[in-house]
Amino acid sequence: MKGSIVTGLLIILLFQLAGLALEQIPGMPLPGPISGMVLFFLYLVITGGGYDPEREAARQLLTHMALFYIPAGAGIVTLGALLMEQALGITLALTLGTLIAFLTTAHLMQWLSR
Amino acid sequence: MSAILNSPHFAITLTLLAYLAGHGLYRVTGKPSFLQPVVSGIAIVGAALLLLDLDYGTYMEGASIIHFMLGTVTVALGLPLYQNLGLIRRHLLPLMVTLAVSGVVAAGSATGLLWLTGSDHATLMSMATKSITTPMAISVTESIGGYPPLATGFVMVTGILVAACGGPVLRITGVTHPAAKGCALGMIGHGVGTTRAFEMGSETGAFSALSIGLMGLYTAIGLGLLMP
Repeated sequence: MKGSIVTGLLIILLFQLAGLALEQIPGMPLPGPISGMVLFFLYLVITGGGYDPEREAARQLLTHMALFYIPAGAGIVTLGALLMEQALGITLALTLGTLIAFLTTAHLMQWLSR
Repeated sequence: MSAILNSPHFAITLTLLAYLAGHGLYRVTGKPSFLQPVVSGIAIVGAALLLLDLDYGTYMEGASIIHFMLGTVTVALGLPLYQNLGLIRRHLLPLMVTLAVSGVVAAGSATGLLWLTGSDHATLMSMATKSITTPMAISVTESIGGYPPLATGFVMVTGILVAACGGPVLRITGVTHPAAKGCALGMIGHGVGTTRAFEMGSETGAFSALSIGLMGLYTAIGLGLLMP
């Protein structure tokens, strides 16, 4: 194995840090981690795919992506009252809203790809 | 006892256990979309907090290192975007037009319906990110004034609905083109929809996979500019 997972993680963290720096610019529309993703993407384009350590670290992180949103997701236990209060609107938005968006996307892309 | 239950050690151990248990459950039940590992993982942590009468804030503080890594995972999403660059360039125009419309319709139809029934600002902002992948949805909803836990729940339900009903809806309405099927599953149903797209074929899957990053980025920029 060339390089190590620590090197790879460090490289990805540097892009996260750079994203955080960009977030400090007034009027910046993107949250830090997403700017970091764009920078990491540009780095991969410029270097023709980057190197093994950061690719391996990225793959490992993505494989276990779901682990990292458990803490934020568990906060749902504090929101029971809000969910009850707005049950109708939330149900409509999630079902009908999703159906509308799904059909629009599928048929538009099919029409454009004729 | 409460010193142990309120420690970061407990919070981190509980999170890892819940994640692995969620994975195990997903595998042994034959991978149904409604049992996404993250759904059962969140349910297990939530149940533990309620049963042991623990404060969510204390748990979150303890598990903050795991939550921090969410940003790192978001950065890592640059890799699949790069790997699909060739496909994006070959279908640039249809992809960009569909993305432009799809992002507005996805966020607009959901927040519009919710707004009509009378909702508060924070819930609307949590709904606006429902079609983008969870790590991106959490950072976007945080920055525009939504509730990350609510946004996570909306993202998961949306993905599960798309994965469960997407196939029949595409068939009934006559959508046969792999690019169209992939874009619908990925742009609206993010990672959960993409798992279903790969079951329909590798080309459908590839379009779905590239749609995740594009939709996330477009929604993040759009909402960031609209809701400074």
